[in-house]
Amino acid sequence: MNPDGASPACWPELAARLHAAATQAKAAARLAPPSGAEALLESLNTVSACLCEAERLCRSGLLEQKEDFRRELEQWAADAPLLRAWVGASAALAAGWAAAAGVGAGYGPDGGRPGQARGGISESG
Amino acid sequence: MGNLFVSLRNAAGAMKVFERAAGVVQSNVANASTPGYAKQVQVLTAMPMDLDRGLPGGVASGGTLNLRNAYAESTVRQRLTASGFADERRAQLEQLEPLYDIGGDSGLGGAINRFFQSFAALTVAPNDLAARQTVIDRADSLARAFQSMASGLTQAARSAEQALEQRVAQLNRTLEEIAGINSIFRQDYRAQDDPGLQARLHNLLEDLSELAGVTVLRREDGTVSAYLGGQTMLTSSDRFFPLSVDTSNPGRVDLLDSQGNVITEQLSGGRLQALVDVRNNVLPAEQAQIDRLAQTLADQVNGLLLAGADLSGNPATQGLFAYNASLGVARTLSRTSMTAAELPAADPLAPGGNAVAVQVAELAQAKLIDGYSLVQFYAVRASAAGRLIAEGREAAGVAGQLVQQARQFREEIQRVSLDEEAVVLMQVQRAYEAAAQMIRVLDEMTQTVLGLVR
Repeated sequence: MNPDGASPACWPELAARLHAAATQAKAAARLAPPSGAEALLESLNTVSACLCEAERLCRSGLLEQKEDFRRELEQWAADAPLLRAWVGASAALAAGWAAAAGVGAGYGPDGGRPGQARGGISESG
Repeated sequence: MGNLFVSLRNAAGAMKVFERAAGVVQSNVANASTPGYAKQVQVLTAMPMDLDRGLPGGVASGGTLNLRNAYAESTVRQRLTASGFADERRAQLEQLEPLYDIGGDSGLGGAINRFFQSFAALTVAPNDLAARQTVIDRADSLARAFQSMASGLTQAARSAEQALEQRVAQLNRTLEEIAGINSIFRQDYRAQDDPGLQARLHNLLEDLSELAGVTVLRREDGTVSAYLGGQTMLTSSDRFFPLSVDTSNPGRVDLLDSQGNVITEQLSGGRLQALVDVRNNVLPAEQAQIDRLAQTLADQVNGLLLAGADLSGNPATQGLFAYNASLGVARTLSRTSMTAAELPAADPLAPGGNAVAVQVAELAQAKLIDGYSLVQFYAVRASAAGRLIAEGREAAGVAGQLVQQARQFREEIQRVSLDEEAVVLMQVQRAYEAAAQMIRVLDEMTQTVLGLVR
């Protein structure tokens, strides 16, 4: 136990949570929008929480039994580009809907004329 | 990093809402042209934000709101009832138009004119067999013209009966479909939120209202009940009560409920009432007037001729026309077996003269019915029928415009605006872009943590 109440046993649990969240995120990102959006954001939130917790444990000096977590984190980092690509595709698809409905991302005072389709996204990471 | 997570959680919450909103939008866009569809709206609720108390704010889904407006729907149905009545009445009355030919030489009016003209010609040559034969022939034509008119009115009545039976069958099918949707609602309460099913139900209620004036009541379980004229239950829950037509009475038709009770008087508007009204009131009234005309003409002509003498100076033994009043005067009017030689054109006291022929010819101008001559009376009837038809057309036109007006009013309230839906679609697009940004942030966090755990 450390003064924060954390124990080395936290790392395996954290590794399991990261693994589950990463798996869910990859699966959700492959779903056509908007059906995967909720699961995607939930899993990304969980990943965020895991990273935050890991940072806290590290700064608390609890570094034993972190090997599983490190492997999961490296796997997550390796999978991230593919995840970005999937999410980018979903964003493009959503832009396509807006374009089909006659309004795109550029709609407004600085964008195209009302009713002019302006599909696509400027940046996906 | 705490604030970043608050932001991420808010973004996630917003995404959940957007996901539901996008589903609603997809339904709206897909049904933008679906008749009877009412726009659905995803209600967004702002969440309390107080970071000190752990309340992150954001937005949450408040459920789906149906923009269907009961008043607008009811107005459309009421106007459809009026329009259905006017349109069906117009269609039935237009069948009378070819019967009342007032073109002069054709139709019943022309036949009456020609008949009296033949007697006028007979006054000039009362013993001329050719002139006498012309009278006989014109009497034949006149009788056939009355028969044709009576037959046309009978056919119009039969047509109205058939149309009524078809409309009642259509009403029963509509009731069955409504009961089917009610059954779905009873089996699964969530089906009430199915906009497609609701659109179908409202279309059926419109069909029903066009056929007959009905009172529609919506129950808590989402089912609807419909009452004819607010009295006879037509459908309730998953049951429906089919109507039928009684044509056994030769003088009229009646509408029967599922128990066989006569409910004709409960009709208030709609196509069914128009058909019943034309069949039971308008056509019999026309038939009665034509019978009056036929009987007056036949009786007047026969009365004069029976007092006359034929070509040989013998007293007349029969009239020129015969009919069976119980079966309908116009329908049964016919020329008797009187020959040209037997035609009594002369007074018995002055054989070979033209006294009777003159009296008959003068009937053409005599005010014999309601202050009108026979031809004038026919012209008045034709004019009344024409006015009835014109009024029917005008009423149908006005009623149709009122339906359009009510539908436009309803559309303004509950129609799908693709512009508005596009805004929501853009929000979904933005949300996915936000997810991409989140992944970028996570990338940076990952690299930081990797540096710590390695």
